[in-house]
Amino acid sequence: MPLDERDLFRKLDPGPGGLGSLRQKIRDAERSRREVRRITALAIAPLAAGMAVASVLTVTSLEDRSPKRRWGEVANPALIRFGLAPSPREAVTILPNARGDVAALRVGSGDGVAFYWVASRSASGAPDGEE
Amino acid sequence: MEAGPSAALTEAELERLFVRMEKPLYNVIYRWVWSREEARDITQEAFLRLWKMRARVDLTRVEPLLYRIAINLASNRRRAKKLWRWLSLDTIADRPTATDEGAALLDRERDRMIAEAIDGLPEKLRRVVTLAELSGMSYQEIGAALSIPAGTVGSRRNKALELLKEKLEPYVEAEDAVG
Repeated sequence: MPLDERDLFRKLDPGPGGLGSLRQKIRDAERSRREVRRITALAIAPLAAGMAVASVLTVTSLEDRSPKRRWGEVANPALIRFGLAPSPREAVTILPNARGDVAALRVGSGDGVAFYWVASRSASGAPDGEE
Repeated sequence: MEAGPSAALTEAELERLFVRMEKPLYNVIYRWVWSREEARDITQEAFLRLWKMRARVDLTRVEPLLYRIAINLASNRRRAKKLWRWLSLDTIADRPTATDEGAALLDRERDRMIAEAIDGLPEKLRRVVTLAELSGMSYQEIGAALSIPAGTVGSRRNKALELLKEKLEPYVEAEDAVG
C-alpha cells in the first residue's frame, strides 16, 4: 500500500452548510447573551433593593445610638459642665425645694415621659453641679 | 494579537472570512482531531469565538488570530479526549476509521499511517507543519499565530517533514516524496 506525497496533507472538503450553521450559532449566542443579561438584571434588582433597605435600617440604627440623638439637639452634658459648650436652650424649674436656679437639657423622651439632665447654677451663671 | 477598537469585525466581514478560511482551517483542525465531525464543530467554534471578541479584533491580523484560536481549541479537545479515554480505559482510537466519512476519501490503512505519523510529532512541530502545509499562510503569519519568529517556523517545518519522511519512507512511492 504505497503512499503518495499528496496524501500526507490532502485537502478535505468540510461539506456544505457551514455558513448557515455559523449564522445560526451566532444568533443563538446573541439570544443566550441577552437572556443571561435579563436574568442577571432580574436577580440583581431585588438584591439591590434589599441592600438599600438594609443600609437605610443600619444608618437609622446608628443614628439612634449617636450622642446627638441621645442628648437631643445640644452638646454632650459633660461639655456643658466644663464650659466647653453653651448651656441648654430649654430651661425648666424643678421642685420648689431644689437648690438654686437650674437649667435642664432634654436628653430623650418617649411614651409621655421626658428626661432632662439638670445642672445647678452658681451665682455667676456657670454650671457647677448636676443631679 | 491585540487590536485597536477602530478595526471592529462586522458580521459581513466575518462571513467573508468564513467563506475564505473555512476549508484551510478545517483541514488544519482535522489533523488534530482526526474526525470530520469534530473538525467541523471546532471550525465553527473558532469563528464564534472570534465573533465574541470582535470589538478587539484587528482585521489586518485576523487570520493568524483565527488559527491560534482554532489550534488551541483542537489541542484542548485532543487532550480532553485522551484524558477521557484514559479514565474510561477506552481503547478506541480517535484516528480515522471505516465509519469516519474522511476515511472514504483516503484508503483506510494509508490514512491511519499518516495520522499516526503526524500524531507522533511533538506538539510544537505539529502546530507548525499543519499550518505551513495547509493554511496557506506565510512563515511570518504562522510565526504571528504561534508567537514564534519566522525563522523558527522554517526550521520546525523542516524538522517535522524530516521526521514524517523517516516514519513514512517505507510506504512512499517517490524518493523525495515528503519534504
